[in-house]
Formats: sequence, structure tokens, C-alpha cells
Amino acid sequence: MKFLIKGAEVWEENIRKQLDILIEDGFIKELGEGITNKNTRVIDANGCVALPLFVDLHCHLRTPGEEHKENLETGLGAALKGGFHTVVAMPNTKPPIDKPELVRYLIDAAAKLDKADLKVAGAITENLQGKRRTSLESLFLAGASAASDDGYAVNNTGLLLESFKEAAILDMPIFLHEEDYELSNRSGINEGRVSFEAGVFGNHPLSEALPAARDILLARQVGARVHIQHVSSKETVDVLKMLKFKNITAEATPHHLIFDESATLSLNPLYKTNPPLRSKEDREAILEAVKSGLIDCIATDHAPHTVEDKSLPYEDALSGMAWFELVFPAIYTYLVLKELLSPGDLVRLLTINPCRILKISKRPRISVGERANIAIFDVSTKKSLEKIGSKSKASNNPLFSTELFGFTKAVFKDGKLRFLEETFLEGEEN
Amino acid sequence: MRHLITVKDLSLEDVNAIFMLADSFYEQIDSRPIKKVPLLTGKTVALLFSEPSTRTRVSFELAAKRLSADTVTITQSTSSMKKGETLEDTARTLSQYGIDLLVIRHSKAGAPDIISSLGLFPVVNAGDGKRSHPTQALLDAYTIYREYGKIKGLKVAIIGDILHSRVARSNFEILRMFGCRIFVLGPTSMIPSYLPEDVVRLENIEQAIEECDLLYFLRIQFERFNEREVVDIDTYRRKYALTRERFEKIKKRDLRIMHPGPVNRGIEIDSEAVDSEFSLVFKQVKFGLYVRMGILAYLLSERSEEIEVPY
Repeated sequence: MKFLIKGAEVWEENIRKQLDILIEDGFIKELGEGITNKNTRVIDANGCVALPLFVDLHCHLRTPGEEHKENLETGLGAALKGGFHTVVAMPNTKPPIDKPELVRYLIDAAAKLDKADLKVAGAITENLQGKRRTSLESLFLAGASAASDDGYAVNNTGLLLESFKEAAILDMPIFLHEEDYELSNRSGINEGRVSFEAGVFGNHPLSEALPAARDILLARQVGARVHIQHVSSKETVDVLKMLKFKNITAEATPHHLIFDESATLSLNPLYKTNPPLRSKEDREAILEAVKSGLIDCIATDHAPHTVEDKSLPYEDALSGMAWFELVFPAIYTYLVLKELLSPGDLVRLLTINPCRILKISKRPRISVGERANIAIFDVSTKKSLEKIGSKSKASNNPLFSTELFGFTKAVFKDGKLRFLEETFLEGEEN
Repeated sequence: MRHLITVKDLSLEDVNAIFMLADSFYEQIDSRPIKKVPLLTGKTVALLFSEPSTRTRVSFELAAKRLSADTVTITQSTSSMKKGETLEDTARTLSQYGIDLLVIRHSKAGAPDIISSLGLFPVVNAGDGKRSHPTQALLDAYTIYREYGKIKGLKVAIIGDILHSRVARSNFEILRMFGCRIFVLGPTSMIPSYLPEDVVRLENIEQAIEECDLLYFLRIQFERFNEREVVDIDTYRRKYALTRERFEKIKKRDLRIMHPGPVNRGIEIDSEAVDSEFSLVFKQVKFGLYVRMGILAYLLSERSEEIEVPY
């Protein structure tokens, strides 16, 4: 089977050009202008952009234990539709992924699905309680790609140091949710104007920056690879400026890049995230760090919740936004169209650097001879996810019913056409 | 459909309309033997209170009754909320009974917004967490207007536990709306580290007495203090309380003093001041009833215009 993608603007590292893409037997055979070829299935991609598939270092698939929020099929399906080749699931499930058999269970279950590929982060501490270390070696041997207690912070420095030593020997990256609970007050509202007006305890920006600084120093001591998750404050950006070295990487979420604390003034629980949305200046600092490379990648922190979990008073509502299918439309509409990020930035932030951090040697790449791992997004029509229909079980994103440019037109993964215009292609269309 | 969740939901025109209604209810009812007007006959006002309250709950209930509306009161300890029913489901249930307006007090900021976003009926916030208490701010402004004949341009000092006070937050908003100059004074531990730009922090109470037109004392909300928040009564008394000696200066300057109640007598204000002619504390309570009648009438009469008679 041959496919000809006609008319899309190809976005690759150092490429931004309207090019036709000829795919034969799952590989990119030709890349050029005005390609014609008989006996091919033509995908009209005028008004679209084509990017290499993305890799997400940070998502929550709620499996096992909370499958009413998301299961592997819906989560990985939504990821694939959103243009993701591979996603890393965080271990804060019920029970948490703190044992090798749970890692294996997830990897095996995902392998049967043929949606986006799954990689698993195993827990740093038992039951994510920050008290007893897990065996990172066992988790690693079972297939865990990283270690994380995401959702919870580990603030026992002696324990962290031991885990860092073990991870350094295994060359296993540690993904850290940084939060000093005494400073964050476990609050979903930034400290300052908004926490004053809401009359709630605020989440101080140093609640993230202080443990980040501590952990970078610890990592430097033992040579561990540490990845700072969901950077939310300019203070944390400053810490990265001062202390970052080659083993340290960091991510920013779409919500911290697109929104700021003013959205939380209404106390609409859809804007509640952890860490919280912070000031305009924080958002600007994160954008600048993402541009400059100080923050390495964009990770979604896809956090599906039920409507009920998000219909509680702000303080009680659960944190997080469901992102997979909205990542490209939101980033395109709010950041690329406003020239805050360039097409090249997106490839670097969503594909190249996440692959580097996971040490994926063959990244998705739009280049002759490569397997087709291509996402095609329609940037000339505005649609809403609510109208298109979501593959995820969750709709907890403030942009769920907003009209945006850039929803998915087609997805080729590992050589196969897997998604075309709002229909999933099951099985063997290759 | 109009809601009153924070003062920001109202324009100056809205506030003036509510005050005019309060004026007329006051004249029609206060000195009359029959304390009822038939304005809201056939309407039902539900009161959902999940936090203790005396004056707010009683005055809302009486306000509804004096407007001839039916009332139903739900408190947390006797309702299905205790069985784990969500706020949304409680609201939907009340909606099935055809209630026309809900007054809600809740310990969590943002709880009224959850219900108002359903669009079932107008929602009036009677206090949510430490965030907002718009009807208190309205009755305070109305009391000032009755007493001073104007609000605009007055210099108002709000004194005491600003940190835990939804009354202070809402008063900032309404006083700002009327172009007042707002001052605050209190122990460092009771002043939020963030203050709106137009709010000026005073050094001492003497400054407030000398420079302001009105002193608004807040209750120290002992129940809201956590282990990091300090309250030292001796220092408070010495520096920020309205003691007998300070009251003499207030009398000389003919200032008025206000307090949202309940008063910790002998802590924020000495009894002599509370009970004096310079105190508006009980006028606030009285006017609170008429302002709340005005609020109910304003929100419900607007709604009635939308109702079409089916045949």
C-alpha cells in the first residue's frame, strides 16, 4: 500500500516547507515538491502541517484502579489521536506502580492495544508515601523507563540520595515532582493576588524552586539524571539557570505555557492544577526558558478526571487537565500563531528532546528512508474537541469546547495509517 | 439570570437600585405593626447553610418572609450533604422542588460558583470560606449611606484581622466602587502579605482616629488561626483595640464605628463603645434585614420579567 500526503507544510528540525510525502511499505520513500504517483492513496493535506510524532514524558492513565477516569485503550487512543508515538505513564495509580509485576502488567496490557506506545515510570517510594525506597533495579529490570513519585513530592533527602545513587548506576532518569508542602500549603492557587482574593492559603513559588535546587545539587553529587517536572515559577527557572548541568533536564506543561493565574480568579475548578497556574511573569519566564532550551521539553501532564471530581468547590476539586487531543491545537492557536513558539521549537520540544531524555535512539523523523511516524494537523479550520468527540474518557480541560485550529487530520505510526479524519483505523491499513 | 457571588457581580447602578428598594422596605415596614409586603408571594427562597451563622441566616429568612416568600432552610448536619451528596446534586434536588432562589453559606471558597454555574436559579453568596461576603458589604455600605448621607470619598479604616476576613475582602470591593479611600491596620500577622494597590496600610490606631471618617473593626477569627499564624491578645489590645481611652478621642472627633459581629467584647472593642451612640453595630444588623430584602426583591423581580405565561 502506498500513500501520498499532498500539500502539507512539513515541520521538522530546520525544515518548514510545503512538501509532498510518499509513503511506501511503511517507509518514507520520497519527500519533495509536486510528487505524483499512480496507484497511491492520496491524502489531501492542503491547509495542514505535518510533524514527526510526539513523545510525552508525563501523563496519567489512571490504570490500574481508576479506569472510570481513563483506561489504557482510551488514554493511549487519545494520545495516538493527539499525535503521540510514545507516552510515559506516571505511577500514581491505585495501587501505585511500585512493584516490578505492576510495571510488567502495564507494559504487557498496552502492547496488546496497538495505540500509542507506553512507557512506565516506577515509583521511587513504596505506595508513593516518601518513606521507604523501592528497588529501582527491580523496576528497571521489569521495564520501567524512569522513576517518579509524581503527584507527590519526595522530601526525604537521605532517601533521595540513595535512590539517585541507584538510578545513576542504572542510568535510569528520575522524574521529580518538586513541592515543599510547608510552602505550597497543598494549595491550587498561586500565593499573592489570587490567593488573597480567594481567601485561601496560597502556593508559594519557592515551594517548587527550593526542592528543585536541593535535588539538582544531590544529583550533581552522585551523577544521577534528574528531570524536573512541570516547572511553574520563574524562581524555578532561575534555579535551572544557576544550577543546571548536563544531567539535568526539565519540562513545562501546556497549561503553564498558555494560561496564568488570572484564569483561577473565577475559582473555576477546571483551571486547578498542581503546581498551580502562576503569574504573568512566571508564564513569561517559562516561555523564555522553553525557547532558550533551559527547559528541554513540553510534557502534557494529561490528568483525566470525572466531571464530579471537577465539580467540587475549588479547594476540594482534583487537580489537572486532560490534554492529549488538545496539545497541538492549543499550542498552535495560542503560541505558534502568536509567534511565541516556532515550528522548529515544537519539533525540538515535543519530539527531539523527549526522545533524548528517554534515550530513544531512533526518534520519529520526517526524512527519506525513515518509517512513517507522522502527524498531520489541519491548521486552516477551527473546530472544538467537544464537537469532534474525544477519545479520552475525560473532558476536564478549559479548552474542551473552545474552537481551535490544528485538530488532527491523520496519523501514521510505525508505518501504518492509524487515524484519518475523526475515524480510527483498526488493524491493517498499511 | 443574575447571581450575587462577589461584589464584582454588581454595577454601581445595581447597588443603587438595591439601596432604593431597601429604603422603601424600611419605610414600609420598620415602624408598622404588620411587617409584611406581598411582593414575593408564591416564591420560595432556600437557605443552605453549611457553616454556623446567626445574623446572616436569620436576616435572610426574615427578609424572605417579610416579602411573603416561602422559605426552606437546609443545614449541613440535617441534610443529605452529610451522606455525601454533592453540592450539584443538592442544587438539582432543590430545583426539582421549584425553588426560586438559593442563599448559600459554605466553608469552601468557590462553593456558590459551583451551583451558579448550573444556571438553575439565582444564587446569593452568604459567605464562602474567607473569600467573599457580598451581602455584608452591601449592608455595610447602606449603613454608611444612611448615617453619613453619602459614601463617596469617605476615608475608611478597616482594623484588625484582615487575613481571615471575607468581610474585609468584600468591603474593599464595595468601598472601591464608591470611590472611598481604604486604609487597613492590624498586627503584622493579621495583614495579608499581598494587599490591593489602593489599600493603604496605617502605622497605628491614633493615625486612623485622626485621619479617617469611619473605623470598621473586625472580629479576630480565633477559629481560623493555624499553627503559623500568631495572635497575641495583649499586644492586640495595646495597639489595635478600641479601648476606653481611645474611645474618648473618637467621641471628640465625632467618628462612627462599625463591626460585622459577632463582637468579641473587651477584645476588639470595649463594651462602652459598642453600646454608645457612636456605634453603628446594631444599625448594621437592622439595615441588614432591609438590604437583604432589597437583594432578594432585586434578583427575583428581574427574573419574574422573563417568565412567560404559557396560556
